[in-house]
Amino acid sequence: MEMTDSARAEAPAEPVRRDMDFDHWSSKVAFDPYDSWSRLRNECPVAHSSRHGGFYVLSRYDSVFAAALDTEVYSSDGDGTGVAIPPQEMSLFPIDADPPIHTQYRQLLNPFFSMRQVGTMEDWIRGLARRLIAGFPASGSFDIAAAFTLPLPRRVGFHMLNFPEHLHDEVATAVSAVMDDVDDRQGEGADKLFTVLSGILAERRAQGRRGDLLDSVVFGEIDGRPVDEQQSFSMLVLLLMGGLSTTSAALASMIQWLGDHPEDIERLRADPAIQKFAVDEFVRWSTPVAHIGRTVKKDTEVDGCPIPRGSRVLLGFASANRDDRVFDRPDEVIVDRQPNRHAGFGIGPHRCIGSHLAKLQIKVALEELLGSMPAYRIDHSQIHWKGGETRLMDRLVVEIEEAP
Amino acid sequence: MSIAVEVDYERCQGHGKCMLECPEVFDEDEQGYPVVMLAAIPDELVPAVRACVDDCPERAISTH
Repeated sequence: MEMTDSARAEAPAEPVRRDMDFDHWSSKVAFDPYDSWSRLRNECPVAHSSRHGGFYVLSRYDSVFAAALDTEVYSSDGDGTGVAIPPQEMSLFPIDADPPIHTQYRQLLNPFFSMRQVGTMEDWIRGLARRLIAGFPASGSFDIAAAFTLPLPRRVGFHMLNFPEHLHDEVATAVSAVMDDVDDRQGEGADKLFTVLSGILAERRAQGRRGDLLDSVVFGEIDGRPVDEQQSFSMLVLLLMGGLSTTSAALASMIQWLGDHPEDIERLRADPAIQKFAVDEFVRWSTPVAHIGRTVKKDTEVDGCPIPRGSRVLLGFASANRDDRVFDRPDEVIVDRQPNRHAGFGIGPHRCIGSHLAKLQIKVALEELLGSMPAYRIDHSQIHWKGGETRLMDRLVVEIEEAP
Repeated sequence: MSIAVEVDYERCQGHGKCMLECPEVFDEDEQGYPVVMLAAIPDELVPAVRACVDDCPERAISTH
């Protein structure tokens, strides 16, 4: 276990609730969250914010892990409230469910996301990654988010779901619109998403089974009954929200770090055996799903600080992943970091169902970029961060270095 | 003396790091959870198994 400062780990937490002006949806937190998280961890590890109807924030690794594991106290359902802070209009399954219903949804979907099943897509993913990379300009600057990190996970996801090709752009745009704007989740974007996905689901319902993931979404059973249209829709929305921009986020952060640290490119090229550790490390460092909410089902206490029943609590995965009580030099990527018990895919029963697919894409992307990407620099002046449920760079301009 | 390895399925959530790190010991079932393949871990695999214990995010693997 890495432990840099054991004395700090023993420091008493602030015993009374303190109000901090913390808003996980603010552009400041989207752009540069780590100062805010660090302040919370060190000054007020059980904080309270009055934003969005009021919520507590857990920021230390130990308390985030303990809460994520304790589904008896920290509910994802919250009597229909769900995990979003502020709440979303529609429940998404399985993320907004508690065991045992949650478990049934997972059992329905798990077989398509096992390491072995996902592994059957490796060649397809590699072919796609190669085609995208072959399209990069040989010199000058280009936006690698548009050219690579955004399209790769989208095409993989749509391929896996067997979506008709002509709908890919429309679905991607609608998913982004719904995810990224806290004030407009019930607006035009949501309407478009509902229309296009309902069409896809209705078509499959009419066509019958094809033996794929979408079959489970459309024809699966929960609680002994076939899923209804609303359940199908919510599962599909969640698969798209959870799978597309999250993977894009990790890929972009990986490319950014490597552009800024060419010595790590050399290390990874020289020692391919450490690449699998780097994959997890990029997920830890970027933590695309930076936080998720819960609702407390009974009065509880964290580090001596009471949290009353019914409270909303934000679990700071991004903060846990930068906690120096657990991770040595947490703000740096250490490409062969081991062990690496990060919370980048969440922890407990709600662990990201697509983690193997995400890691496969990151692994393949890393191998292919190491294999054929010329030396490049990051143009930091042009980076654009997008906040929301997933924090990612949706613009990342790289500059190919001139050969000497 | 060889060691035995155990997965606590109450804790395990299928992160799969053990299956990636040490496939000789940890196979995968249809739901994506590890299955321990060897009753006794041969000496040459002990370091890899210990690394899996330390790396499991859910602290679900133990040796005895």
